[in-house]
Amino acid sequence: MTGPADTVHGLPPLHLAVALDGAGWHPAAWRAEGARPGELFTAGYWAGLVTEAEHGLLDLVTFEDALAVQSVSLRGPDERTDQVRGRLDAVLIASRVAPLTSRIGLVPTTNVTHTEPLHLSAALATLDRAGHGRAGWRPQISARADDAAHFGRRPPATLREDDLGSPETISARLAPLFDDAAEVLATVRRLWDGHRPALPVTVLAHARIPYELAARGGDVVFVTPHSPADAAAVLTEVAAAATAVARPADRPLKVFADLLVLLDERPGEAARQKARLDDLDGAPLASDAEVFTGTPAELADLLLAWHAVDTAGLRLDGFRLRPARLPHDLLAITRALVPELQRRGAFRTAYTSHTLHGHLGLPAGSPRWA
Amino acid sequence: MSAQQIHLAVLPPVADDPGPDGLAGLTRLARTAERGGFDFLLLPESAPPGPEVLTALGALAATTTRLGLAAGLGPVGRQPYELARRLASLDHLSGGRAAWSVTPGPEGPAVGALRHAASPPDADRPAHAAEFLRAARTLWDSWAEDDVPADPDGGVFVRPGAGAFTHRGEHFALDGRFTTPRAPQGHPVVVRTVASARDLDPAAADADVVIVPFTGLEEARRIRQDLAGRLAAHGRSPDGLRILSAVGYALGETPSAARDGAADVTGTPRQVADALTAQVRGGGPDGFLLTPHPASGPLEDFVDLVVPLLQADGAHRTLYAGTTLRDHLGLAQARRPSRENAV
Repeated sequence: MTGPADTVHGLPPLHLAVALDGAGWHPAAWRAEGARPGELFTAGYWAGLVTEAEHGLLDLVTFEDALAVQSVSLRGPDERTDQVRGRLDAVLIASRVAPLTSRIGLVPTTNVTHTEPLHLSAALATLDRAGHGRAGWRPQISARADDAAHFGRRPPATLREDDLGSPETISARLAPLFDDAAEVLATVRRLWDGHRPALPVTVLAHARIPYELAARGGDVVFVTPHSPADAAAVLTEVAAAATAVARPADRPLKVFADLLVLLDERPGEAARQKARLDDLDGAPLASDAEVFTGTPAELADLLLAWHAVDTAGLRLDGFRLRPARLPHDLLAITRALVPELQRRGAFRTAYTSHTLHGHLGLPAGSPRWA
Repeated sequence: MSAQQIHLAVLPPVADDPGPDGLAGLTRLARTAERGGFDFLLLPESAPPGPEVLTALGALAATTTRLGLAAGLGPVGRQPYELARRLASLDHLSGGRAAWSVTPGPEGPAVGALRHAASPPDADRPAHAAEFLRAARTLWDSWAEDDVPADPDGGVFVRPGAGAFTHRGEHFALDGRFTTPRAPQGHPVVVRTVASARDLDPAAADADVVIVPFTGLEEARRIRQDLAGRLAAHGRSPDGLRILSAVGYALGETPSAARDGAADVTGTPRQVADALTAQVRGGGPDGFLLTPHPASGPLEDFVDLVVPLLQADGAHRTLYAGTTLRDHLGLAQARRPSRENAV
């Protein structure tokens, strides 16, 4: 069965993912109304969030992770006591919720700079078994000196002050790490050869070098455009990256735009809430992704406008929404945004597949990777 | 509960082919063990397509509520930071049911496939493992129990300095901030296996549970005495270590039907229950790790036929009294040195 999007909206089906991180993506989210700051390190908290996302028929949830404690500084730990610090391992959170869910894709983030492909491939393949074909993977590099010191290693590359100007200059400095990551992805895929189908691999990318990593080893790339025109430009760059690395044409790279969202049914209220949280945190919310404040219907307008961007046949396949406050903005997504998109014929009204490959429309076979 | 209690654990057989049913076989086994009031399931490391141990236990944490979940993993080719983090995460996600069984670890090709391999020479492996565990304990102690006030009114999520650690040793020189807040058990339970006499001292030095080979009662008593002496030498209380004997058993309707020369304990359910009880009440081990044996039959048989007899004798729990694995084992919560002493 094809989704209603094909018939009503005339566009390919829209994919929706949610990115889960701590109390949400606003640094003061743990102080928001309805937050559960005392439960962030419990299974029940994560089970509640993921089952809610599944009720919303979302394609997948990603779980953020990092080896280092959260910090406002790229250089190392800060001494902030007024923001969430501390994490649980993302693969284990995903495996803990796998038996409690049956449809939604589970995509943990893992470090690939300091970890072993042998161990990663086995852990992710086991997650896929626990979830009956619903696991994915988001590999992530790390250049932080404190991550290296946790392993008794020297930092593999060091960012300088004048690198920090743009994603291009940052990724140019870190190019050896992206090459290294591409090798890890290739090794993991080789180790998955006995595992069919290979798990969908997702990469968050902001510039040409990471786009090429996504094009070399990924199935989905998460990008961070700030407008429809920007989305068109990013789509063009991603396509160029795919060409540059000679990605086979029969393996299209899905492109999801990331948005950090604060939602409220009352017009203007989400912006007021954001201002309150910004005050508590002492600084305006800063993000690599576009920050949206508004009503679920306004967000639906934006998603459909961006989804309609068509530049030489290139389109966004979907969105990864980063809820600023958990569970508030997740609930707004599943209980208001999704029904709104369904009313407009732009989102599935039931899962039509049991696997993450199926949700994403990826081939179910196990393509051999170069 | 006046009569001495038998602690039971189970080692699942290694499945050559996991089959299409995900982790269903393992899940069934874990639920059966939990129905039988077992302290823990020990999942040994196996090469793919066998499950990755910690990820599989993460899933079992969702389908069981009391059973301890022990990960059999070797330190070779692993890093204390990463493994300590995953074990602490499992402890959080299971509500305090995690354990680490420190195994000798992979050899040969498995080690050769590592990118960052810094495998110690064979002669250094015991010292490497002991230091690895010390480093892991340093990481587990790097957050205090009250380091996460998460107080929105006061605006304090975390206490300053939470997670700060330094470890300096022969094999590892690590420092930084650990990501994972203090685990419900303080430290996951540490299990060590004694395969030969030279394994006794490392176990007495740093384990919470030691697995010893099944022996006759006299030898089992001697092992207990030996371990007690070593515990004292390490400044530990004799009550800080549980001794489990690894036993292969075979059950039969009649004594002759269960005859199997290779199993350690054979007989009718009554005979097996009596043999196990006699060992524990006679001053031998604290309990048993049931190991796979071709003649054992499914764990269901043990739980349905032997466990009720042990319960009727007052030798085995009918309900879990506590929630954490340390509760089941009667071990104290791992205490952290106070911050004043630690820094």
